[in-house]
Amino acid sequence: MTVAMRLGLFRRPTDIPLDRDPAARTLPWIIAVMAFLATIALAGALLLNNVIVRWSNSLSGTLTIQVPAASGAEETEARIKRVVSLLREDKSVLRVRVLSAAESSALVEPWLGRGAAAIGLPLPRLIDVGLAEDARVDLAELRRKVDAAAPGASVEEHQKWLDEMIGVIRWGWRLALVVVVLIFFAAAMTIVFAMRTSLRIHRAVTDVLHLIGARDQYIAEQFQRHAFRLGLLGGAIGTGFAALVLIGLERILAKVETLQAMHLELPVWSWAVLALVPPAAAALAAVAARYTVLRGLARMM
Amino acid sequence: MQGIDPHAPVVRFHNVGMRYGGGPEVLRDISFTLARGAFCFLTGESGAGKSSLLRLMYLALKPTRGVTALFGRDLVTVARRELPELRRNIGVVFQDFRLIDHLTALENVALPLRVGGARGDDVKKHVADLLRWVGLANHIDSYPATLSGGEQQRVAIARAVINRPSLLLADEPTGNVDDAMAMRLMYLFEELNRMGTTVVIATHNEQLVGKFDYPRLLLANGVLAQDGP
Ligand SMILES: Nc1ncnc2c1ncn2[C@@H]1O[C@H](COP(=O)(O)OP(=O)(O)OP(=O)(O)O)[C@@H](O)[C@H]1O
Ligand SMILES: [Mg+2]
Repeated sequence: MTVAMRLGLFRRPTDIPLDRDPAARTLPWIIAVMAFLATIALAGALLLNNVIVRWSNSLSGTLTIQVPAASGAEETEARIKRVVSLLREDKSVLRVRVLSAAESSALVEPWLGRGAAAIGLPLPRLIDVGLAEDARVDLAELRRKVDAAAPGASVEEHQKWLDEMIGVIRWGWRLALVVVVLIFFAAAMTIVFAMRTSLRIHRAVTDVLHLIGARDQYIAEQFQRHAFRLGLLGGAIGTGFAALVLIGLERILAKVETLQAMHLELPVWSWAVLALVPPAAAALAAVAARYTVLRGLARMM
Repeated sequence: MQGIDPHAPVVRFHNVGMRYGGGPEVLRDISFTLARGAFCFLTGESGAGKSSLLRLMYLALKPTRGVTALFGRDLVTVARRELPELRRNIGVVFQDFRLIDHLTALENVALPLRVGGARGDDVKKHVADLLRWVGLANHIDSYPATLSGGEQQRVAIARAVINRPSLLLADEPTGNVDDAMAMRLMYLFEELNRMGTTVVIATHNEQLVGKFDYPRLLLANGVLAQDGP
């Protein structure tokens, strides 16, 4: 008894006893493994996609200017004012916001620890600058001006760093998709081999069916239905396991606070995409079986 | 069916030769014609080529030379995808039955109907009636492995005649049954023949052939000993 039979998927009798093939026993498990891997890879792709989208939206068009603490608080404030006024003159700057000392220290806290401000470390002050969309800022010019207004101040360009990061992540995303495609390809090849063997095993029956007037399509349909069921069964097992793993992984990630800003999460709709893996496996199996069997039968009488 | 001439001979062979693979010719210079509604025996000793000749007629093999035509269609001109249509007009009782092991007697006999696209319960009733007629009332849901040779043979015959073929080719159809059942089966074939089916029965049972007044094709060593009908 194969798993498929136990689950009652083969109650309808077919002319060709495909459910007794050795392939009927092993194929669902092979497909299950592949569906598991495909689901994980696809989830990886969806996760990276989410990161790309969220990062692209959240931080585009911003600069951060760091003004180091000067010898006195007043001097620091004066320098900040100079920088702000020169920024306001720039047409491509939409908004300028000076972070308070408290906000600035909160931002550096994860790196320096809670006590940094308390023990009087001279913390730099941050200015958050929003740029107009498609703004073309001459960064070198801006850096020169900012440095003149506040010696030692630095202009940090998020966009560039972000673009580079997103570029790297996009490669990861592409790689995950390639892995998904390769797994599907391997699954198709497996089914092609299994169906070729099946066709050979059942040669006597297919010959009789041909001789009593069966069309190739009639015979191929039985293999196709059989492969569809095996694919669906294997896909459901594999994707089911993968879903459990992903849910567990999400729980673990959700507990890690420092990762929260990275948006390492699967959007709700992506579960619907993952749920497509078993039907896709079934459809792939059916198509591969039909193609293989029709080709095999065409060489027969 | 497309391209079938109702007035053409059902079978026409002219100078047909056939060999298996690279072996010797097992059939040579075979020429004969069977008109619609003909009934004939195909006789000859074991190994003479009876089954081989039938295989040519039921389109399991192609001749290596000569002209073969069925229902007025030269088989050289028939594309592979047209074969199923032609084969549905031919009922075959194979010498080795060729029943499908995991299907019941009823399912085996219903197969030609299912293959032709028929569905439903009237099919089932029709099939069960035929099985009762050939004496298998108690074996309708039996699997071939649980049937005797003669019972399997009758299932094979029922499968061959279930959709009233235009041409019935029976290879030793009474080889495994007693004389009374043999006569009953012959009566079935005659009944079909009366309704228009062309019947060819291959046998080396001279006793049976002698009881009927039908023409015979006599094969000896791969050639027709006398020119057939
Ligand atoms: N599949 C095959 N491959 C090669 N040779 C074959 C094959 N089938 C039959 N032959 C040969 O063809 C010849 C005719 O065989 P065939 O089966 O047609 O005889 P037959 O008249 O039906 O005999 P029987 O009365 O014993 O059934 C024999 O010499 C046999 O060895
Ligand atoms: Mg024979």
